Amino acid sequence: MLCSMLRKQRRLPLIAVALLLVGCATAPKNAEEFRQAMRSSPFKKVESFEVARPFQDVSSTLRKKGNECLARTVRWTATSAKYFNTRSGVNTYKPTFVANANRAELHVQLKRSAVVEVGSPPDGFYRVVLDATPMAKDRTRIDMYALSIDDNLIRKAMRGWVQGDNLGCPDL
Amino acid sequence: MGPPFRLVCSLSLLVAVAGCSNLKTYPNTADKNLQVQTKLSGSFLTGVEAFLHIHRLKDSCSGDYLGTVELKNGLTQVGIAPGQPTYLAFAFNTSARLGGSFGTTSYTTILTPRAGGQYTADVSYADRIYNVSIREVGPRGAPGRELERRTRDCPKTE
Repeated sequence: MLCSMLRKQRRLPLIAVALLLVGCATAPKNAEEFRQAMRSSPFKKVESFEVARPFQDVSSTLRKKGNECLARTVRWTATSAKYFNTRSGVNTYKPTFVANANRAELHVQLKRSAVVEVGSPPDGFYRVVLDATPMAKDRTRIDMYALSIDDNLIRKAMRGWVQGDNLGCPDL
Repeated sequence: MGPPFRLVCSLSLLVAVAGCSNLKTYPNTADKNLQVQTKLSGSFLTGVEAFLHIHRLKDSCSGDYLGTVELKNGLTQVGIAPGQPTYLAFAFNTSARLGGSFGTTSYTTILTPRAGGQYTADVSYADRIYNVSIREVGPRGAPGRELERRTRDCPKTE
């Protein structure tokens, strides 16, 4: 009984890796696939709300702030005092703004040099996608999709941009 | 590793960083034409400091480093030579109060002050969101237009 349990436990890392690979293999390759995945995910981070600003204002703010705040390369180094080792890497954020008269979208991808990103699109996994659509006069509907709680800072910044009450950049 | 050893390590690192720093104090002797209003808000676990690094641009990309002004909460008056393209780098340094991690993020722009012109900069950092907005003061002290951010035109390096 004990041996059987231990043997099963030895398989757990293999199963975890297999699941991870399956997950990565089906990673969203574009914004639409990302939206679909977030809608059906049990850990989904999808939020929808309206803001009291004209669509054109929201759209131009997203265009300006997306490029200004999210086209970033972050070089990081982490030193462990306990183990005397140092790790470093480069995180490259890529914002993509797409708009027409009836819709504005801001997509954020993240490519991490320190992580082997199996199955990711060339510019990294999609992290956040925001859609803005015009509603009644001076109102705009926002739908925001986020991959995980790690993206809360970007979500918070984007919320400030669309509401127009905080135009600051996230300290990535 | 015990707390005393950690403290010694941290102090040694601080001394080393201070010794190696190339920062110098900005002379700040020109007429004060930039009023910087700073609002920094750290947290229980994270401290934040802000600095303004000032460079005189020689061409569209490179410049001479003139010095640094520490921006404490409240008003800081800075004098920048008029008519001279000046590269301003507002840097926010964050550090974990218990040690272990730190980081720097910057907002940069180019300002060419007009002779006799007055400018205000609102600088804030709170909850890991930072903001810098620079305005030219209008006639009779009225809040003027916000200046568009200008970036250096440097050749791309791969």
